[in-house]
Amino acid sequence: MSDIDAALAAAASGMRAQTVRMRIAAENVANANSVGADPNQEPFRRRIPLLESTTLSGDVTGVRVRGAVSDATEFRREYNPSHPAADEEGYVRLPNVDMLVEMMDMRDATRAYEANLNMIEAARAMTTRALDLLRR
Amino acid sequence: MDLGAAPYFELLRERLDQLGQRQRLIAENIANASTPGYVPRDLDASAFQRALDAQGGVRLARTNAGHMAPGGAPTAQIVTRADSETTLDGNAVVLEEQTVRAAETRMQYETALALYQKGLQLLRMASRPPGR
Repeated sequence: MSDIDAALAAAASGMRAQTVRMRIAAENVANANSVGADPNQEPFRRRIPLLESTTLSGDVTGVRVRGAVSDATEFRREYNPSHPAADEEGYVRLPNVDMLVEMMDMRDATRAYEANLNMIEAARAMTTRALDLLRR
Repeated sequence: MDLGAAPYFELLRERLDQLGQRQRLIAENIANASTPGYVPRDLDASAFQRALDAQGGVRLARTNAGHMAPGGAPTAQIVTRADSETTLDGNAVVLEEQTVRAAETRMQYETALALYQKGLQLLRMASRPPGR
């Protein structure tokens, strides 16, 4: 495996990982208002993707998503006694999703994705230039 | 004639290898731009030479007037070097800095390729019969 191929493999693994991260952030946003059906049922708990370095074939240091863990932050509480999920005091537990945090995470994932894409473009251009030697 | 062994082409080939390796390291850094605790790596072409110099320098003994001094670029070393900022999770990759380095490497790579091409042109010119 040439170094340029290795660069492509690393960038591709980065793009994959950022896509998963983006998906998890989208799931969090989608479930920002998912509450339980009754007071005993927990509302949606925010998920956090875990990224880690991994060695791909050819000794390339890539990245992968090891999995996702639940955010242990406390749930938001809202006073709404008529809600079926309200407790005795009239409070409903809402998911611990913070839109601002999710948006920031998405921005970061997009930025990293684009950087990986640029890297692929650069590696491709370098190979093309090298192949040009054959043409002239 | 072995083109790869001609000093001019050999030097450029080594340079291209080195730049390709550097580009690979930068790609790995960018892939790990959100990995907690990851510190970027880079190629330090001068690290090997510095290490040699610190040792007082290692030279091949030349015991005969016909012996030649070794040439070629010194082997580059992979070094771990944090960028200007480290996030709270210990990630020390700054995308902007890595992007600049990638562009720099790409430009150097293309320069080396252009020089290689010029060398081939020279050879072609030399092999053409005069007057044609």
